[in-house]
Amino acid sequence: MSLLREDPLLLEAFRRGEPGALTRVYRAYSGHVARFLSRTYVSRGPGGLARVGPLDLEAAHQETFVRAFREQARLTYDGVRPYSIWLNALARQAAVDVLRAAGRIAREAVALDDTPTAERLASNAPSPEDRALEAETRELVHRFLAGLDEATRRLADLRFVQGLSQERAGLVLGLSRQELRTRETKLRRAMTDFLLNEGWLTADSPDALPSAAATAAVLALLFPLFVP
Amino acid sequence: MALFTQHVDRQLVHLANEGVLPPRQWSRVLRHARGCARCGARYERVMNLRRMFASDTVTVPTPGELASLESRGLASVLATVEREPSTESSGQAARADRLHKDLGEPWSLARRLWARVLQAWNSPSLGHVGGAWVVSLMAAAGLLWLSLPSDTTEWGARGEGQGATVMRLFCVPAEAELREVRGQGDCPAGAALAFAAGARAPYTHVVVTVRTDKGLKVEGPFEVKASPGAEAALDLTPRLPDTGEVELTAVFASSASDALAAARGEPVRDVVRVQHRVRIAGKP
Repeated sequence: MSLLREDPLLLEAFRRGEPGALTRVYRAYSGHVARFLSRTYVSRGPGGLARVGPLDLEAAHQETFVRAFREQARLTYDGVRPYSIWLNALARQAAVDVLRAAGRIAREAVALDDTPTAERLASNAPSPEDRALEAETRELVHRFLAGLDEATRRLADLRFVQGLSQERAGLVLGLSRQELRTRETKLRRAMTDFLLNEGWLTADSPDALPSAAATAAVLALLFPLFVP
Repeated sequence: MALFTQHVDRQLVHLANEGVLPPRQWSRVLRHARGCARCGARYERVMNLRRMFASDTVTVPTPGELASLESRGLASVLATVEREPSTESSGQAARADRLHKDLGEPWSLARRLWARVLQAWNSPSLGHVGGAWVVSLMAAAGLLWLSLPSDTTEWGARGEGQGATVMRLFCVPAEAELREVRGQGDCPAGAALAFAAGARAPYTHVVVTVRTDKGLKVEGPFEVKASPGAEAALDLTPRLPDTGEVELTAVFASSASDALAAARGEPVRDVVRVQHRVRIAGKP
């Protein structure tokens, strides 16, 4: 896909910074940038290879597009090279800056853009840290699924793994919408209990926000004449 | 149970189960988690779990993440780009990027410091709190505001146009929280300074001079688009020397050339000059 190369009018509007054109470009390349940021190792430091994790993805993604949509960047793009390649270069630098600002990589970490090409290409394979993380997470998923009965495991597969809608999942399983919802509620409870037992979540978290009664009580205390 | 938890545990449970959150909630969760080691680690684990469910790898975002980025990020990106000055400032941005490459680490450090300034700038969202809470907090803030004395002398204008210009100064220590410097303030050696400016017509530009034992440095001109009361950050974070005192002068004028000329000591009419001294003292 190369939206800007194929549509000269869009390219002109993009260069002028028209919001409609920027919106089209953003929507066309948002997924590409997110996937690129998530899989690409952007720096090498004492802690090993670093890439953007889920926590920093939004910040790096936005920073990439802010840089790409600046007037100078818009005017510099020649409309000939694939825009995705152009975005990749901006995304790498934005990722390094976001990771540095968040303290995830040391100031001494070297951006892989500054390393030889051969080394950069070699870095596309999963790092040892990521392999360990994947193994740990995969093991957790397997243990969770293994603890479910066959019917619930099938439901978990359709909803969590395959990402089917409730309606589609219900059709596959031969369940009414209400039946599916009931089973899914149990499945979610099982998931929460499992993560609590594994120490991934906090036990009192579902009740952590104040109740309506507590809110009203505090309001009455602070503002006796205030009627919400 | 505490009335308010400072963390986002409830939303993390929801994320683990659903894989997505309502847009505003998700923004708030991310804002909190990125500044909270405890919740940040949990957020990463929960989302990695969802990624593993969705695609058997932690390096591919879930469909929910992709949809969320596409829908939530656009408005913010467009607003940021629109806020950024064009033409002249694009040139400044390009120069800044070149400087970033040429100077390497010191400039990276400045950008990192600046990120902290901007982070401190953003007030927390109250989107997760009930409407009544928002009303009560606003009322409380109003009462506090009425009871506080106005701080008119600090960075007070010493030229014409008093009240039309505001310059705020911040100390950014390497390993401590950013804080505003008030009066004849102190800031530790090795820290950086950060600035925020606001101005009303006819003042549009500001130049900052930084005088240390080693000499005088003129920074800017910077275009000032923000108004007093809603000051915006200047892209300037000078590092303090090890000892002595720093004298800072901000010169506001109605054009970039006038501001620069006035900062160099040339006679220019209708400028506002504000001065401040910072002692190098205190623990780093």
